Amino acid sequence: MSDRESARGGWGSTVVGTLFVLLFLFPVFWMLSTSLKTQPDIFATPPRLIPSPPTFAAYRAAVLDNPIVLHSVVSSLVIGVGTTLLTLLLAVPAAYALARLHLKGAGLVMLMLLLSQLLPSIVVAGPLFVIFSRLHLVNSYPALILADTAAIVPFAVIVLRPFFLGVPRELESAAMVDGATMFGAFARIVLPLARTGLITVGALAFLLAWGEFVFALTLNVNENVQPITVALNKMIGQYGTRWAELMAVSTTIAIPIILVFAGLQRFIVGGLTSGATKE
Amino acid sequence: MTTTPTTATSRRTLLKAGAAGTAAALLGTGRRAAAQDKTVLTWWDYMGDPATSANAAAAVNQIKRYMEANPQVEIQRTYVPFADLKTKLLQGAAAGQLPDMVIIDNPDHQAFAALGVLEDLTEKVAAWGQAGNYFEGPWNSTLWQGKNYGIPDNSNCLVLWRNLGLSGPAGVEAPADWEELKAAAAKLTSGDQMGLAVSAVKSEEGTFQWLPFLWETGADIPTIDSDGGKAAMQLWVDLVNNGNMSKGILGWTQGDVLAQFQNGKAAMMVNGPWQIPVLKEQSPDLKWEVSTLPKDKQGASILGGENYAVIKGKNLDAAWDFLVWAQEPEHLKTYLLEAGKLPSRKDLAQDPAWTDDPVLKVFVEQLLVAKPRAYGPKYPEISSAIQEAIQASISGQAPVADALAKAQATITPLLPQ
Amino acid sequence: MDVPTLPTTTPAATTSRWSPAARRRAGHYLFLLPAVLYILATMVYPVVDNIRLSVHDVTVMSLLSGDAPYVGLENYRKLFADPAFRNAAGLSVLFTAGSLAFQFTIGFALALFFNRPFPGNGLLRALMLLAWLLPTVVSASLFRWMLDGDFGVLNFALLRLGLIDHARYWLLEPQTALWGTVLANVWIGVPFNMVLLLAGLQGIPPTLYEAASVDGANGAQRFRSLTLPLMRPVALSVLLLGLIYTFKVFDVIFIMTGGGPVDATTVLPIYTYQLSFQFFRFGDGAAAATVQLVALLLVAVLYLWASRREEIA
Repeated sequence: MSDRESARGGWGSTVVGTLFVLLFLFPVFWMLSTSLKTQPDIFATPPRLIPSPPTFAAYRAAVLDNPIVLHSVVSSLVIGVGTTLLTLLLAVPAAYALARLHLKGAGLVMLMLLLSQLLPSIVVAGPLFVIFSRLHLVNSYPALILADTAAIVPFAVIVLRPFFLGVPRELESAAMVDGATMFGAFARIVLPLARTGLITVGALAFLLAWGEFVFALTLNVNENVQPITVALNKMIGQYGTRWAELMAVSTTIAIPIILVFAGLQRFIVGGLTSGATKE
Repeated sequence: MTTTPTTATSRRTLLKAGAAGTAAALLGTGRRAAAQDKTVLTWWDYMGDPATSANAAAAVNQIKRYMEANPQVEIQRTYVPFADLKTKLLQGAAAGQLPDMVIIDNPDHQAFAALGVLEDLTEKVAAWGQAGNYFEGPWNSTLWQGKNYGIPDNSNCLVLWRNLGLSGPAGVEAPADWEELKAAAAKLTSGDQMGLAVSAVKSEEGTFQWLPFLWETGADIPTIDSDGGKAAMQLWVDLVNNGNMSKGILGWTQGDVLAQFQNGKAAMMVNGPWQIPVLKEQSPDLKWEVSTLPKDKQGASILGGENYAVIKGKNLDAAWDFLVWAQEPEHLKTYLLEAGKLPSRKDLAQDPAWTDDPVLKVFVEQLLVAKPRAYGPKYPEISSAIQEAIQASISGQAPVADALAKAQATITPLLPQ
Repeated sequence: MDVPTLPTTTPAATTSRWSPAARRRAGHYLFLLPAVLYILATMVYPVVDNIRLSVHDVTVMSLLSGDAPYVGLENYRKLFADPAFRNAAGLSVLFTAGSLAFQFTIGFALALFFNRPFPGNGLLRALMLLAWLLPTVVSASLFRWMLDGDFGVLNFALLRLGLIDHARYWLLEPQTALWGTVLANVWIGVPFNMVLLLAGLQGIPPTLYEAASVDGANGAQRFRSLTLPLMRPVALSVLLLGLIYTFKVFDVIFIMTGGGPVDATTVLPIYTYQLSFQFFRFGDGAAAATVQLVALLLVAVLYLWASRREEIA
C-alpha cells in the first residue's frame, strides 16, 4: 500500500488519532511540566499547565548534583543490556522449538513457562536471595541480570512463539529440501523472517529490565549496583510530595525509553507480514 | 584496576571511573577489596541521601572525620529507606549478608535483639563505664533481657511549629491546650492554607506522631480503646473533617509535612528537631517558632531517636572503636548539631549549645516529658495495628470507636506479659 | 504439511544414535534445553521452597534457625478463615476484572483504529507506547501525583468541568482508592493490549481480505467472518497475559496506596507481602502465595486447553 494512497484515505483518522493520543499522553506531559516547576509552583492553585518560567532546579537538585542517582542510571543501563542479551539467547531458540518442532513434552514446557509467569516477583525474590547469597552474587549486577532474565524469558517465549508461527512453513520446507540443516534453516531463513519479533522482544526485554523494581529492591542493597527505579523509590520514601524532584527523576528515567523507542519504532511499525513477504 | 572504595563521599570518583568501574563492578561479587589493607566497616542507616538530607550529610561528615582520624579504617555507608530497613535486616540475616553495624529506630531495637542478630555489648559497655551518662529512656531501649545490645546515637521528640509569616498581626499565640489548638487551626485555615499538618502515613512515622496525643489524655497503648484513646483519635478526625487539616496527611511522611509547612500550605505542623537544619538551609526567609505540644490532661511528647547496633559475629572491635570515638562528647556535639538532633547523653544536654538556643531549648524542655516506646519485641506489630486504626478513622472507613476496638483486640496479646 | 515429522516410536528404540532422524531430534531439544534448565533453576526452586514454607510455621525466629515446626495444612486453614484474605481475594478479582475489561476493550478498539493506514499512524502508535514503557514505579508515582487530593490535576479538571463539587482524596478514600489504582493500571495496560492485538491483526494475510472483498464482503462482514475468528488465538493470549500480569500487580499499588487506606487496596500480592515482609509470618505468606499460584494455574490450564483446541481446529 503506497503512502499516497494512505494519505488520501485517512486525514480524518489522523486528526482523531492525534487528539486521542494527546489526551492519553497528558500524564507524560504533566510529568515533564511538573519537573520544570519550583516547589511553590507545585502547590499553586489553580495549577499552571506550563511552568513560567521553567526551571531546571529540580533536575539539578535531584539528578545532576546527585551522584547516587547519576550512577543508578549507569546501573540500569548495564542491567538492561545484560538482561536483553541473555533473554534473547535463551528465548529465541525455545520459542522456535515450541512453535514449530512438535517436540514431545512441548506442552509440558509451555505449561512450565506459563506457570513461571504466574509467580509474583515478591514470592520468587526471597528464595532467589538465598541462592544468590550462597553463590556470592547478592549485591552485584549478575544477580539482577539473572533474576530479571528469569522473569522475562517466559514472557519473551510466549510473545515470540506467534511470530514463529507466522513464518510461512513453505520457506522453511524449501530450505530443508535444499539440504540445509535444521540450524542452518533456523539461522538463515527463520530468524530473518522473525526479525520484527526479535527486535520487538529485545526492546521489550530491555525496557522491562530497565523498569524492573521488585528484584532490584530485594536482591540488592549496594548503591553502586542499584538501578534508577530503586533510587526513585528511595526518594518517594523520604519525601513523597516533592513532586518537582520526583518528576525530574521520573523524566530522567523516561528519556532512554524514548530514545530506544524512537530508534526501533520502524521495526514495530513494519509489522510481521511485511517481513515475511519481502524475501 | 580496582573499583574505588564506595563511601558516599567518593562516589563522584567512581562515576569518573566510568566504564572501567562499571566493568569491574560487573565482574565483582559485591565483596569489594579496599585498595590498601584497610579494615572495612560496612554500615547501614536510613538517614537518606546526603544530597537532600541534612541528617545524612551529618552522618557522612561524621564518618569522614572518623576516617581522617583513623586512616586504617574504611567505613562503607549504605542508605536503606526507613520502611525497608527491617526487611533488609531480616533478609540479610537469613542469607548471612548483614553489614557490620546498623543504625536503627529505637523502638525496634528490642525486636532485633530478640531475633539474635545483634552482638551482646554488655561486657564492652561495662568496661567502657559510661552507661550512667545516658538518659534512662534511650538507654533502656538498647536493653533486652538485661543485656546491652547497642548504644543510643541521638534523641529527638516532637513539638509544635508555627509559621509566623502567615500568622501575622492576626496571628496566634502558641496554643497551650487542645481547645486552643483547634481554635488556632481553624483561625489559620483559609483557602488552600491548612491550619495544621501532621503525618498519619501508614508507617512508624504515623504512629510516632499520634502517640503523644494519646499519652496526653492519660491513656496508653494497653488502654488504647478508652475514652482517652477515642478523644485523641477524634481530635485528628475532627481537624480533618473541619477542613483544618488535609486528608492528605494519610499519605504524608514527616518530610512531606515539612514541605507543606515550608510552602505556606500548613500554618502549623508537628515535627521533630531534625527538620531545623533542613528549614534553615532550604527556607532561610521563613519565620517560625516552636512550642511544646498543646496539653490535654497532661503534657507529653514522644522519645524518638536512633541507636547504634553491632551485628553479631562480624567486626565487633572495629565497630566498637567507632562507637567509642563517636560518643566522645566533643565529636558527638558536632554531629548532633549538624544533624539537628538532641543528645541522649545527660552531660551534653546541659551544654549551652542546646540550653541557650531559643529553638533547641524548647526541644530540651519537651524532652523531659517525652515517653519512649517500650512495649517489647512485638512493638512493630503493635504499631502496625495503631497505624491501621489511624487510617481507618481518618479515611472514614470505620468509626473511631470501632477502629480502636479492633486495634485493642490485636494489641492486647502482643504486649509483654 | 509438517516439516520434521517425528516417528511415533520412542527415541531409544528407533535407530543408531547417528541416524539423521535422531540427530535432528537431539538438535530439536537443544533449542529448548537452555531456557528450560534456566527456568527450572530460577523459577521452580522458589516454587518448591514456597510450598515447603507453606506447611511449616515459619516466623522470623525459625527462618533464621531453620527449625520451623511442620504444621501440615494449618496455615491454609488459618488463611481461609481470615477475613482479610477473603477481602484481598475479592479486591484482586475486582482489580483484575476492572483493569482487564477496560484495557482490552480500549486496546482492541485502538488496534482496529491503527490497523488502517493513515498519515502519522506509526508515530502516534509509538507515542502511545510510552505509557506502557514507562517503568511502573514512574507511572505509579505520576498517578499518585495527579490523583493527589490537595494539588492533583485530576481534581482541578473535574472541578472545572463541574463533575465534582469538592476536592476528592482519590487514593485516600476507601470508596475510590481501588479505582484510582485501576485507572493507573489501565493506562499502563492499554498500549500493551493494543500492540499485541495489532500484531495479531497485521498477521492476518491481506490476501484474505482482498479475497473477501472480491467476494463482495463489506467491512462489517469482513470483521465478523475474518477478523474475529482469526484474532481468537491472539486475543486469548493477550487476555491470559493480561490476567496474569494484572493479578500479580504489586508495585503500582504498593507505590500508589501501599494497600491502604486500611485494606481498601490490599489485593492478594500486597496481602502476601504484608504477611511475609511486614508481619514476618513467612509460613502464612507462603500459603497465601501458593493459593494464588493454584488459582492462576487453573486459568493457565484452561488457556492451554483452549489454545490447543484452537490449533487443532
